[in-house]
Amino acid sequence: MTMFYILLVFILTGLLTLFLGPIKVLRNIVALLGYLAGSALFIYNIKPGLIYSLNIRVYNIHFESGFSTVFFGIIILAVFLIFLLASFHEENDGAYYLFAFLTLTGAIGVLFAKDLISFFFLFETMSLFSFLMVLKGKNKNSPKSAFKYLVWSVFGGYAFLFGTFLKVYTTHSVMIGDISFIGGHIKLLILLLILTPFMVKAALMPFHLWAPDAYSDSKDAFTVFFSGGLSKIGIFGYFIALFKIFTEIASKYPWFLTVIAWLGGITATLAGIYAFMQDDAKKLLAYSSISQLGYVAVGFGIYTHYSVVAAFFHALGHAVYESLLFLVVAGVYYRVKTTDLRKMGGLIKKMPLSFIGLLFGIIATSGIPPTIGFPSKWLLYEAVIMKGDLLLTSLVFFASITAFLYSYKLVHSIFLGKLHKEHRDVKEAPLGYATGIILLLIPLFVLGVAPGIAVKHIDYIIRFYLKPELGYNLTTMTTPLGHVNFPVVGIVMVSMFVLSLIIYFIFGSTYKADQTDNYTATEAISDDFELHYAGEFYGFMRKAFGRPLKWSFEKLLNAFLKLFAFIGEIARGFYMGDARVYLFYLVLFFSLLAYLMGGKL
Amino acid sequence: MSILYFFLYLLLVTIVGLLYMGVARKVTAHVQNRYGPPIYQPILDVLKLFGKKDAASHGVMHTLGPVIAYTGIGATLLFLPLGNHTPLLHFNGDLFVVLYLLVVGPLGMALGAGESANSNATIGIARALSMMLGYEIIFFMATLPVFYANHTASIYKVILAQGTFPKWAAIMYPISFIAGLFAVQGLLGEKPFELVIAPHEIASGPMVEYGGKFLGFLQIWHAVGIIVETGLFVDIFFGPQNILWFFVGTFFVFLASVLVNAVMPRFRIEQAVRFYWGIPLLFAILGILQVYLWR
Repeated sequence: MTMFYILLVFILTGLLTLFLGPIKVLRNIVALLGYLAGSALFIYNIKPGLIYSLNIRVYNIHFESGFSTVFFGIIILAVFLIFLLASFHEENDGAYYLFAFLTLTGAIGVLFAKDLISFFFLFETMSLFSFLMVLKGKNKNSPKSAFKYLVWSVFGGYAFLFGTFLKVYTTHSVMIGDISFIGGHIKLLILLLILTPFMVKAALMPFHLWAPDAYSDSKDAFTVFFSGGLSKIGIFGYFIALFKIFTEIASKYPWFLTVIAWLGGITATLAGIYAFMQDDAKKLLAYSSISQLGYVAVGFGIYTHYSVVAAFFHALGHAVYESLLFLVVAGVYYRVKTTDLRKMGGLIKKMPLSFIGLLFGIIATSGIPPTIGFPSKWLLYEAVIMKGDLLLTSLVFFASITAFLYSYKLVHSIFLGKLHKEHRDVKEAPLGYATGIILLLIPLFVLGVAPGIAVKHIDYIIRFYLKPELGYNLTTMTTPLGHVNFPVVGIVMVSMFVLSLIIYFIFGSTYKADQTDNYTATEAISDDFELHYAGEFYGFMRKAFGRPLKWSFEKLLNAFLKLFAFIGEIARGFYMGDARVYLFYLVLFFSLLAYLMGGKL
Repeated sequence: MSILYFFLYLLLVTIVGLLYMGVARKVTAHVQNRYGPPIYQPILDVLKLFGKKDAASHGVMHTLGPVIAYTGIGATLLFLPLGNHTPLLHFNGDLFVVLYLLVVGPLGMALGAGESANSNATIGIARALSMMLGYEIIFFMATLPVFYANHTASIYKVILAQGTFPKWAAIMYPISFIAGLFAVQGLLGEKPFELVIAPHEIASGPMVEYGGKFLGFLQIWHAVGIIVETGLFVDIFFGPQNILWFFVGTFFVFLASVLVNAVMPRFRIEQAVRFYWGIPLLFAILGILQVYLWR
């Protein structure tokens, strides 16, 4: 019953903010209180193994909670808190919170759903209201991006529904349950159809086209939840489809898993490359988010205990650092009113906390120890090597190099380099953002040093489906290939840093130099001459990649669109709108019929 | 005791690295028909730089940049076995730990150089990062077969698994070894991949705004970096050596690189990256095929 109440609390909070909150402060407080009530209910009452059914006439709603519910529920609720904190500073109205809370309802509900119909219904609730949220977005591109998102969601939704029908038709059960005993290849079709909306949500190529636009054109606070929270439903869906619905996929269709792993690797690489070509902070982060979700798909595709633990941990890490990065960018946008990387620079002196947030965010994104990004990447590499796919390992490694490129571009273009004249009076991001940054930095380090906290839980999720092979305790991980003690790596770095600092302080003194003090090959630069290297940061890489960079799946789809328009145009040619022409067709049809029947008509 | 041991270890590697840099200058000079400075000149340079009274700083990150750079390389050194000498921190110098720690240094320097707001510095960093798309992936792909064949990701175990002379990975996996040699040239940033520094073009790139003790830091960072980078290569391809032969090995890898450096012009950045995606990539992939066929 609690599961039902939690959803009810969120729905009511949404409605309450719509009707009760003409004043912004009141609205914010109601939203926060409602959220706290709902999440307190979740955290204290939702334990694995709860079952609840609700009968509405002929239809039964079945709810169930498992370890995965708790895991993803906590991630989504935590990211939603960050979203709320940032929302206080956004321009919001009643509908804003209503849509947000209904999105949350859908997202949490999906985690509870035990039958496919409820799952579909809640999933579509989430998609619909997140679509409305994007529609309310921040600029004039938002409706177009929102529409794109809707089209892809609907595509995924139909596929899911079709898959559900096929499953009910073949197994006579609407529950989320095994289909591997069905004869023939129809089970693969069912799996593929059910997997489609999740591949869309988790932006796996080639289903990612909506993501960069929808992420960058929705409100900044919502993007935090959109990327950090909602994409986790896609990951949850991978888990449902590959472990609960088709339990024997590894023995029946190993090639299908290989395809998913390679799609993941290609996604991680290509999205990484697109990311460092972007000149807009949110677009860059959107691609970075897609790229990071590619690793998760690789983990699921490899389908060993190691790789799936890595995938789940990476999903958790993604929630932490992508939320952090989007949050910092939201805070920066609040102050400087732009996300164009070419128009910012040198903000480190004005917004130090935001800088620290972004710095550790990119360090985690790149997977550098001792942050949350490292354990999952380490484990994923070992898992892929153990699987023996060295080319895929190389592809993933290439993807992780692109992370350094876009990370540095982001941090340099916003915070380093020359401060622009109009930003001289910029202040630190306001309290909501600052709180969010600090809240996110805690798990970023804690889980990077002691990944065991999360790995233990992840192990419970999947040990029922895969033989538990990974050796771990609070701070270490052991695979047949290697062993890492994460705090030791951290301690070594800190003590080495202290040593370097001592060397630094022993010798000489420093004085503060101004930017006009720079070496410019004898060219005098005045204060209003802005020498900031930002646009086309990696312009030369365009030449290195050459023509293939211009290929895109979107262009292919557009070509198809043109082809269909062309065929449609020809087909339309038959319908002249003239009755005599139709009469002629009719006569032609009957004479053809008479001829075929051999005059026996 | 072990802390003292580590200090000596770091000092030794730093000094050897500086001597390598001196040799590089001497060799280059002789190739160009000059005398060149004495071999110990870089040590004097570093002492002079650290002895300087004042150093210009553009802000906190600019100050911390070189410090973080040295931190990163020092931390890597702890996990890297020098030949069959056990690494100081004995969880066997896992390849991925080393590869990721190796990035901390450049990242620190990149952040520091970025704050100086000199476009030359940033261009240098942008080039350095782009170059990684070239050599780093080749280096990784070249070493991967060795790790895969020995079924470990630990550098130390790979060293021990190789055995003496004819069983070196360099001889067992010659194709990967050649790919690795290409990558080392880029890893060390020698010509024709010297784009990051490119003194005539972008005024020594990331280092342009650094002077005094900061430059000193960057010098010793580079010195340790030479040992770590060539050392990683020697560890993976030349089997178990004692520490003396380890340094001989690194020296010859470095010397080969310097000799190429002395007679080469400089690539443009897109040429450099594309070069790596050509023949070296082919070699790297063939190397991977070889290990598949052998097993």
